[in-house]
Amino acid sequence: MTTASSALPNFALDDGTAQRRFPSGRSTLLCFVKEDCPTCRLSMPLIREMQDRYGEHVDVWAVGQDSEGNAVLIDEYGLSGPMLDDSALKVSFAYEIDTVPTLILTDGDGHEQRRFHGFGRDDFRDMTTELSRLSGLGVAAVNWDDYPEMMPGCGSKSMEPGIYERLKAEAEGSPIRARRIEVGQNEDVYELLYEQGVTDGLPVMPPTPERVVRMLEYTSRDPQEQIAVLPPNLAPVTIEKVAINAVLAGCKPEYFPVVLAATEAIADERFNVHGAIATTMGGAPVLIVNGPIREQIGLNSGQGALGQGFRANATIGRAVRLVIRNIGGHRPGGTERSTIGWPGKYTLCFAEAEERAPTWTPLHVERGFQPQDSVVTAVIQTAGPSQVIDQTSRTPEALGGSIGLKAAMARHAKLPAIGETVIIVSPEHYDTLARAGWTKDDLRRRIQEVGEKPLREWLADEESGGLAGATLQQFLHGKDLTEADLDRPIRKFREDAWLMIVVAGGGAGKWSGVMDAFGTGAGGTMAVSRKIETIAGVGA
Amino acid sequence: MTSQRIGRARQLTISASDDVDEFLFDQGLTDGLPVVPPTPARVERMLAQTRRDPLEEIGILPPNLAPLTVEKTAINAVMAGCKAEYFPTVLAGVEAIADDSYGLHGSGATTMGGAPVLIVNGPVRERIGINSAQNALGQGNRANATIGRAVRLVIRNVAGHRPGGTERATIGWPGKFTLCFGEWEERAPTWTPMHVERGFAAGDSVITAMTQSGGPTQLIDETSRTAKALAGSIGLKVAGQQHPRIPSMGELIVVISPEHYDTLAADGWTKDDVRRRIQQVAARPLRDLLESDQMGGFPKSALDSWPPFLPPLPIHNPDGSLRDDAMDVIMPKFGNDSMITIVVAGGGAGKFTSILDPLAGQVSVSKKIEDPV
Repeated sequence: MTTASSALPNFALDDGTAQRRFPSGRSTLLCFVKEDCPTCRLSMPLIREMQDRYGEHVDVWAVGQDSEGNAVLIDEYGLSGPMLDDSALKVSFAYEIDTVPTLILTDGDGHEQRRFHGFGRDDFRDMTTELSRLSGLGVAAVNWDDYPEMMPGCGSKSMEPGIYERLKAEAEGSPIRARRIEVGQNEDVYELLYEQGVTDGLPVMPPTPERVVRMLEYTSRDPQEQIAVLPPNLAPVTIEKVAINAVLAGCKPEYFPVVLAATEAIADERFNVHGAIATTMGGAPVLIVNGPIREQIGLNSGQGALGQGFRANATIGRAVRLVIRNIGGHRPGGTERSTIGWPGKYTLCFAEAEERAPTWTPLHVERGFQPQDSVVTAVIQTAGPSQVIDQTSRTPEALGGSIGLKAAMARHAKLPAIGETVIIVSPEHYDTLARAGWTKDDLRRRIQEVGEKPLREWLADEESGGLAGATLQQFLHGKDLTEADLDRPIRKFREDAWLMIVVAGGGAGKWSGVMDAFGTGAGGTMAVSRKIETIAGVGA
Repeated sequence: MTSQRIGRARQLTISASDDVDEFLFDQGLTDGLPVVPPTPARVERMLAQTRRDPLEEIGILPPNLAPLTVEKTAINAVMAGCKAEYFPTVLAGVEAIADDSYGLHGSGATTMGGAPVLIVNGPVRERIGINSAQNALGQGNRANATIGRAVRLVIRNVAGHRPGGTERATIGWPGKFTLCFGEWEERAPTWTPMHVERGFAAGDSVITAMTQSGGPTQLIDETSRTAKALAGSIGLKVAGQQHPRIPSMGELIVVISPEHYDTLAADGWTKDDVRRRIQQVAARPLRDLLESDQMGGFPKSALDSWPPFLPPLPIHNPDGSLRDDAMDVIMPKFGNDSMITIVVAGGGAGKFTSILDPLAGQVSVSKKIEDPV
């Protein structure tokens, strides 16, 4: 058991009469205990015996984890030797004590010589033999038969949820670098966070160091790793700052890998988050999640998937919005210039119901990932979803036609769409399409077929707006409009791939939803998918 | 003093080692987002903003048929994140959805995903900072965000509507978290504000609750320079709501941006003129609407219950085929112009109009908001 390890951390703790400093220059036995642990109580008579017998030559220190309990132990077991007060748990944490009792024997310079935890009759017997050797005194007179062979220890107080994370946040080497905000005793923390301007108008969860540390444990990455620079503030986005915003949003720690991947997606240059948020059209990221992570963290792809009531959906989407607000610096009235806005700007994150649509290729596989990969796709939309009701169509042509007519209404009935458009197909609508063997691509073709009409029917006239001016010029390439042009077929969506089709929703209800695009291509945006980190042994 | 005003709510004791924010999630009281803990002091502050007795019953809300009191409303307003001065608006909002004619149960239970959209008129907007301008339907304004959410939390926590329970939305939409905004009356001086159209005095503060089922979807028209063309564009867009070939059986909200208002008002058009134009553009001969095996549309089965707003007509020839004159009947999108609610809201820049999805059979309700204490 003897190891040539480096010295254990220094400390100074009060024993009620004096400060004890470690290392003390003498051999030292540290006995970490807490009062409400039966195994510690079983060990206390032996610790007292070692203090009484060897205390003149070896420092035998009990280290108690709460001050009231320490007093109880001193009293009940008639302790005359030192009981150090580690109720702040800093030493327990620094020594990585996860079980009490833990006994550690060191030399005079603080090098660990021997350690065990829990109660082991042989461990204690060996320890007294070692103290006897070190002190040159006889072996303690213990009737070992009175003790059980072994008894497992209890959890150290420093490992309790909430406490561990606080200690980690406060310890040397803390992952947290962010400036702390002190909250006065009479201050209302929720109001304070409103006043700080870090919310979207709804309450946020106070980002205490404990909560941020817990979030950071769900990634293997360095908290100070910079994953992006977000406009307009051009502030570095670190993993730690994302974690703070995930706490504010209300995320459970196991959602954090999704939030991180989504943040990387929206920070991708092709995504053009600045252009999307700054536009008067009201762009906002919509997040669609695929793969096993959905079930692991409870992301809803079923009934009410795009609505309220599901913490994972609600808070993951919101965390990304708060990153855009609090790190990027986009705020309504500032660089965020939506004319009308829409409630998807609070949060909009949902999962594809892959299992409910077994004959269709899931979104992430269409985008080049493996079926078993967990992937988040971010796409800018500017409003919606608006529903199309079709309760009677029994053929895929008719139902696909209804969805196509609705999609043709996006932006303006007489303006081609300009970008990627999310179409949410409900399970019952999927059934009608899939029964006839239709794939997502078949639906795309039908939507395009229905939305196509000759140029003359797109033109603005005195009856209504439509193609005119610069938007018309895009189709004429700088030439004058001719009679031949008027018959040219124009599609609603330039690319079939712009139609982002996902199945989601409850098992009952013959409606699908169509969202409003931003612009795809130069000066516009492009959807970005990111694989989500999965951490072995954590979360699932 | 505190304990005298807050009467009946059961107090939950939370131990020092409990995480209060997580506890409230665990209790199922939230919509998936964090809430403010409803401490007695916070509830008391809310109640101090109304003259009404905390134990006054506002209504009995389905499906739980639980009595909704002023106090329970205050608790949910605290959780939603409301400032105390929003409370009279929240109270009027819950009175609206508790009104028998509103049809709260159907609104929540339908698979179409109904949710109350709240529109506020009158001096209260400025007094408590309700946003009717830039991003009015979006995030970032506490009054809009939390007043709409408070009404939603009453529906969840008092009425008992929860997703997966009696709330059966197929797809759902983010307006189900919260959707409340003000009409920008001052920016549209030539138009009659919504509350005045509905019989209130211009100086009244009023909240209107209307069930909608999705959206908004945004109309872009940056080129029309005449009221007729722009309202034509709006009409084409409105015609696409629910299904481009099925008449709407419910009220619908059209949110017109200030720049679009300017184009309409420059030609002297009123809200009613816009309604008429929408109806004109959206109406179609029945033959163009009927479903076929190639295209969804007006269900043939619905011909048996000829829409009540059309003149009665025999539909079938003796041989069972459809009569030409019946197929030539012009079918309006809405049975009645008043089903089209028009409000002006949004930022000063941007040529957009946003349109929400209606829900058949629902009736909107307006309630006056109590003056400040």
